[in-house]
Amino acid sequence: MNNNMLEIKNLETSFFTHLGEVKAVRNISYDLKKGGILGVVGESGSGKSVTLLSVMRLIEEPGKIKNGEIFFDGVDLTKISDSEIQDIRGSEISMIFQDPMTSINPVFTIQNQMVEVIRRHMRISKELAIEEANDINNINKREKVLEDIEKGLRRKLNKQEALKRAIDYLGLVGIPEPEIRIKQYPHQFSGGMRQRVLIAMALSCEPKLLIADEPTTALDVTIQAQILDLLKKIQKELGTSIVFITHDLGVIAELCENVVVMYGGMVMEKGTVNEIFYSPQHPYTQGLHQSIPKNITGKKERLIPIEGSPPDLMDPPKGCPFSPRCKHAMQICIEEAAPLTKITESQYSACWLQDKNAPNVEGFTKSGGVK
Amino acid sequence: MYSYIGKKIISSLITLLIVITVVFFMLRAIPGGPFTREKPLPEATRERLEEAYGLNEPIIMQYFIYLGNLAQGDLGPSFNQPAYTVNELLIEGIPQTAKIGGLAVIFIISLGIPLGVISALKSNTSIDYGVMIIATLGITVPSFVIGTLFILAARDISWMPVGGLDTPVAFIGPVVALSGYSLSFVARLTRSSMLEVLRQDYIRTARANGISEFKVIFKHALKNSLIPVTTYIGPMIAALMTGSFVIEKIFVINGIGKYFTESVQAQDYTLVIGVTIFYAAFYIFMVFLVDILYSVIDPRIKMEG
Amino acid sequence: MKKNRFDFLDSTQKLDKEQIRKSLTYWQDVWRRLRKNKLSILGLIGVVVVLLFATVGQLINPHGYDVQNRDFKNVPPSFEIYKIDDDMYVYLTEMYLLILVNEDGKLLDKFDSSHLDGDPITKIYNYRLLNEADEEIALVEIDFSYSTDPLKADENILYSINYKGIEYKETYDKVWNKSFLLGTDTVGRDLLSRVMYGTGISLTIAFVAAFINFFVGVLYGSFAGFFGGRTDNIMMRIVDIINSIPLLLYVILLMVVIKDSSFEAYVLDPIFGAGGLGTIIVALISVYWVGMARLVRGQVLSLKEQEYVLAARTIGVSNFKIVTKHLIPNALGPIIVTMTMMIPAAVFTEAFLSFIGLGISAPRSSLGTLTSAGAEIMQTYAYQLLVPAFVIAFMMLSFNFLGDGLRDALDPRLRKG
Ligand SMILES: Nc1ncnc2c1ncn2[C@@H]1O[C@H](COP(=O)(O)OP(=O)(O)OP(=O)(O)O)[C@@H](O)[C@H]1O
Ligand code: SF4
Ligand SMILES: [Mg+2]
Repeated sequence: MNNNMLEIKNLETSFFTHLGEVKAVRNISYDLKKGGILGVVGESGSGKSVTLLSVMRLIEEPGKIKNGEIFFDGVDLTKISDSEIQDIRGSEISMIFQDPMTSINPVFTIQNQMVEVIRRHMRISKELAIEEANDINNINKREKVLEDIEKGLRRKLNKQEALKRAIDYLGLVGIPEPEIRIKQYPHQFSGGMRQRVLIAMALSCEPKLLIADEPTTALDVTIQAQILDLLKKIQKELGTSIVFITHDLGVIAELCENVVVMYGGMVMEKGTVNEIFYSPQHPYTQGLHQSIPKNITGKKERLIPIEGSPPDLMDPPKGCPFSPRCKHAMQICIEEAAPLTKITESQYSACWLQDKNAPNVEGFTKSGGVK
Repeated sequence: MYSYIGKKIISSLITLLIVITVVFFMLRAIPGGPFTREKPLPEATRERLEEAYGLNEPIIMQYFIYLGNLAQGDLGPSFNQPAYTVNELLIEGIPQTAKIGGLAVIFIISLGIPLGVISALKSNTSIDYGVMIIATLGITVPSFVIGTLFILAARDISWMPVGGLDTPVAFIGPVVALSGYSLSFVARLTRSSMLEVLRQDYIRTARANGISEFKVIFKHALKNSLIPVTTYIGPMIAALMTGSFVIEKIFVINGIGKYFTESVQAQDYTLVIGVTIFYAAFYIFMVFLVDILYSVIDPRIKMEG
Repeated sequence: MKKNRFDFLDSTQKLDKEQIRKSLTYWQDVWRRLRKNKLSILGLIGVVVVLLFATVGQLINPHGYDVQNRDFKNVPPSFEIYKIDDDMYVYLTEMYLLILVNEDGKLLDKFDSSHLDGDPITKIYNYRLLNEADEEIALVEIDFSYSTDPLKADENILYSINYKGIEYKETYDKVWNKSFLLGTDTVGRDLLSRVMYGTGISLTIAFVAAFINFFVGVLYGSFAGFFGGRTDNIMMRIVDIINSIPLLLYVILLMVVIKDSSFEAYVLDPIFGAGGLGTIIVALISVYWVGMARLVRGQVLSLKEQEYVLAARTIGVSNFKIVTKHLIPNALGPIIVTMTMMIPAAVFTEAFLSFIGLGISAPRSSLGTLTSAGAEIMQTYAYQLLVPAFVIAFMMLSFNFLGDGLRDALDPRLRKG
């Protein structure tokens, strides 16, 4: 068994709209180590969300996963049935979204929604199950129940147990007086509190992987920092692997170990945080750095877009998606997309400048680390 | 919560009083006064009317006398059928009207909402198109056309009576014709609001948490998509009420709608004003109930005064 | 070759990659999106057809809407004829009147049966064709005994026609009415003309009412929204109260009050012509503006906070000018949609009022009065109901499709691709 929590291999996802096929994700591969935090960064529309919604199999009509494999803990999620993926969602993989204001159902209480999720997935612990089984008087019946427990067939939590668990998790994510607040409706919570509720809901069934799709973009800076701290704490204490989608390189630096840089539905570069920050090898990544204001004062940072606009995914450039905006673009760049080239053990970049035939440009390394 | 309801009741009563006042003075504005026009009145009626309404008094006094009578629930005698009081005619008519109206409400809700949901879930399939074409026809073809066409069709069906409410099947025509518009409206509204709700972020959250598709639709989406449908219930009652004017006429049903149209044609002012006040009071009351229902469905509506 | 591919591009080679999207004006964009929606184009065509029907149609059609052809009452659009001689065809109406027609279905003359000369026992009745000088030129006998005589009961007919000693039991042909394409009404008026005229009247009511509602509603709503605060509070409270009972009730009450009053006789009828057309319009505009007022107020409130209005205020543009020059044009989208929907609503209301006996009076007609008159005799003359009912339904459908399409086309949320 390998050491990866998530492996995305050659994923292609398109939306077949009546105007034509929108190729939102074009042949993407990346992976995440168990217990690691992976940052996914890129301009709006680069396909970050679509990639991870594909992982969750939450791509809706008219979208479709066209090709590729997604291994989660060794299982190919693209091959399993709808009910199997439903069992995985919320229990093994959870996802939280950008806008906490609209992501909780407004007409049900927090309790209603959290208990629903917990009772959907959680079974009682083995110890408790055995304890309960030992209270059964009829021997044959007890034996059978114990056998089932060995096979992992334990009963699901009842309402009280689920409620207690929900309250515990609200407490864990830092909601004060969770026993009281759980009875309230979403509109009685602030944005930051709602994001905490969503995190609590996402974690309440102990998922192995948490996908956070720009969870802090809609929040103020101070709240943003609190949520990031919370995610860090969760990763440390619960060992949950996290994929963190963002526009914001600053957040990546603070939180992640590895980074994937996306553009036009493709991976441009991936590597460790240090590599991406201190020796970016792709013109797009370098552009991203330049577009960050230099004074990193903790003010909310959004990428100032690089000159030009992202490609039209209905009719993407044949070659490198970044070629219309790249200041190093070469003839080959508009003819053919560059392969992901290995630069170090952990760093890969998809740029023709890495090709051994390419002219030398300062700041770019040829494949295999040749300067 | 109680103070909210209290305030609502008070503002409903004020509205009703204003409506009564407007209606009263509107009818008094007719040159010569309501009881002295064109047709000479039988002496007995005139005396009763003048006694009941104090017509010899100044108009402002008449108003207070009318209010006084009204407060005791007395709407006065009918102008054209002096043998009856308006109250008696109303009491005779209400059960008939209430029966078809009540059945229509049940029919609309139990058919319109499921049709809308099905249409939304099967959006852009032939089922959806079929439902929506029928719903559009239901909205655009007026109820009196539906009603008369129904009667035209019914004359060739031996077991289908063309009027009255004597057998259970006799209800089919009036209820269908009366519900047509609102049923179609509810189906369309449910469909579009369901489609809108299914695009919401919280639906994606529910799915991301592994909630089954059945529960996503029938728990998470349905309750939200019913919020706009609830707001339509008020106008729906109005549509059913006024719709029953013609339906009762077409299907020869002796409900208050028919009394109202007859009183309008015969210019029976006491009956017109009586029925109008009854309708206004009923409508205001229903809207008040809908308001409360609304705040039950949508927790964001504040119940604090 | 290989070398070339790694040459840097110059800037011109890159530029043609960028797509230049033509920028459209607002109305071009709306029209483009409206055109894409097939149903709304159908609706638009339907609306144009109805307008042409009511205007040009009336000019082309040879019959007057109020001319009573006493010889040809209740003649349907198609009927069965008997051939009783070379070049002699007759048609017996539902009212047992005998009409002389030609082979194509043109109505020529009516047989005289006013004296009911016949035998009530044998049930054979005489119909005489008279010339200008009232001289008999043909005599037709009709035997009505088939339904009552047990000996004849097995024959599946109601009567036979006898002319010059020959009995005709079978019809010759079913023909379309060539004189009156859609038949005639109970007093022999051409139904097509009446429907065209009635459509015109209904549309007049609808357009005048919608137009005035537009003015009153927009003025009221924009001032309430613009001044806000107390003014707004009071103005909207009034709207709430008007809205607190079904608007149709007010309309009915107003109709009762105005109809046959001296206001109608001396003010409205001189303007709108006799028959109570003005009364309906006044009743409709008295209350229906409230919907428009609410809508405009909402729009104005949200637009008011926008920068260009603040800017206009800062540089001292007068309130009136801001409302007329900035706010109303920006709120135009929803206003147009509401107007489109108001027209079928007014047509419907007019029809409804006619149905409960408050319509305009003959000889003028409206779709409502025609439908309601048709409904009274629908058991025998269904066509007199079906024709105006169809026109109403067609019109409602067209305006609704158009309105739905406009709503989508004007919706700023969809203003993207
Ligand atoms: N339902 C859909 N129908 C059609 N196109 C879609 C749909 N959802 C996403 N797309 C397209 O897929 C592309 C990638 O979208 P995606 O949401 O993954 O971008 P993103 O990188 O997450 O951007 P953001 O930072 O704005 O969230 C976009 O161009 C978008 O237009
Ligand atoms: S492949 Fe070419 S166009 Fe793309 S980033 Fe590298 S140099 Fe620029
Ligand atoms: Mg996204």
